[in-house]
Amino acid sequence: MNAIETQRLSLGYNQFILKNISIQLPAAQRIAIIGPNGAGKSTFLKGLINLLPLRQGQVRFLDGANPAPALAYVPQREEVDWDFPINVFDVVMMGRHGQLKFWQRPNKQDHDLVRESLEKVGMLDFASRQISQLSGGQQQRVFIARALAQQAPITLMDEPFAGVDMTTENALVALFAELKAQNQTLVCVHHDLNTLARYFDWVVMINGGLIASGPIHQALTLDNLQKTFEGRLPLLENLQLTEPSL
Amino acid sequence: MSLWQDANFIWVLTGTLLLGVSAATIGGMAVLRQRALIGDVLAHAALPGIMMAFILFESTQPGLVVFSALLSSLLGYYAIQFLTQQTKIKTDTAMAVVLSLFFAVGLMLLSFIQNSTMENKSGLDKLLFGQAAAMNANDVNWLIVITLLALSYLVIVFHKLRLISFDPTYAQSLGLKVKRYELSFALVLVFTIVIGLQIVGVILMAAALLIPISIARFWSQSLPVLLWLAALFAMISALISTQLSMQIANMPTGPWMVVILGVLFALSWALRWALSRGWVSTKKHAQTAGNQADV
Repeated sequence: MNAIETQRLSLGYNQFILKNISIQLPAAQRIAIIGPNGAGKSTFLKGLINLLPLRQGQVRFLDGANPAPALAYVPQREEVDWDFPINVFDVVMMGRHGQLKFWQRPNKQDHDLVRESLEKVGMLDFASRQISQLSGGQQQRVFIARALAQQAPITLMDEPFAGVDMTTENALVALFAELKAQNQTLVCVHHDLNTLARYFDWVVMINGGLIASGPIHQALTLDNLQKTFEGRLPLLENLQLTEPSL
Repeated sequence: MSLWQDANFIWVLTGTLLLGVSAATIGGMAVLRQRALIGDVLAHAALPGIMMAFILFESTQPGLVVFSALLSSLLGYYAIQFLTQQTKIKTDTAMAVVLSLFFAVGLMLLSFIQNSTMENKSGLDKLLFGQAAAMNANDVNWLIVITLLALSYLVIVFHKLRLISFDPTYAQSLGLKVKRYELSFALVLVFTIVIGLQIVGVILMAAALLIPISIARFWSQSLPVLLWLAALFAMISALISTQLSMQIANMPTGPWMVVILGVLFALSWALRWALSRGWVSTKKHAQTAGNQADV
């Protein structure tokens, strides 16, 4: 079963950054999107949620749901002002506000879901802490808890591992495994090719368009990497590549 | 005769208190949305509308003033959106352009009116600097309506506004109608500004919107508390400035309001600084140090 299917999807702001992406992403998998800087990785995520002014082609989600209830989005941390006067609990509660009308207040169930989500990322003890007092890794975990609180079957994360400490990185990897076990689909923009095969099951390689998409052991070939990074290939010391079986 | 038995004083005081509260809370939300200057722009953009309406109807009735200012400010609001979306101009430049352009047109129309033979034109130039002392029961009634409107709007959609202020992209990803919330907020902001013009004037309006929340940020990190504090500081400044302007001759209320807000800001800063040094009280020291660490 596919979680996300796109057909000839083109995305951009003033002009198209990504062109003609036709892709089928399987459900209950941990999917990584890789590509060089400016390849359109974040654009792809934003396009799936319909956050971009330019969009052509088609996108379909699991069970034909619309983006809003089906997708939870974790933006890059730098996109918000962490001095904003709000505490951790209230940020995570934002995840429940998609389902609440403008006059509705969160009920007990919403409160329970927020606590549950904070527990999952190990941040329950920080619930009443101001967000300005969090470390980078803690900020990331709060953002992920907020997405979990949405209870969406698909979660899109924009570089969840960028600039986080080892504790957070390990917590996230464990969380990803847990989510996979619960048949959740994860789509992450990822930078570190060295951890790619350990953290993810499926890889999507893009650079202005789709280069390859498939299970990591099939798609992660030197040929595909070279096409994706065009000579700007990052260091690949520990990378286990699959040689094309010829 | 005591000031408190003077009906005019009561009207002026009620008016400035109400304006202070609504401007501080609505303006506070705008600051947190990192749109601090939008209020300044909308205030200036109201001017040509009011002047145009006067030329057409030769009247300064509150209803007409509110409506024409609303139209004019909204036009300014959309002009900013148009400039930032359709051209390469950045938001701050677009706001400066719209502010000066609308204000210039307003001033041109004002000087045209002042050199004409039109009647009832005496109060119009007061819009620039405000004249709280000229407020009457009718004006205060308008203020009561607007303040109630602004405060109930804030209370009802508080959570959504906070979400959109903190992370608009995420709000959109949740399927919230972000544009609709922003427009409704702009409308309430414009109402507050238009009503405030008579008291503090076009030029000082920004101060009434921005300073109270800035003072409050010295004292709390919780948004609801911040808004309450902002309202409180605004009320203090309203109370003192109306007293001053009534008891001392030729003392304008609006500028005094702003100056007192400035003094409260300086005092808050100094007190915070002293607290952080342990000069005032050692009991609160740990807490202050904690607050400082996260700035």
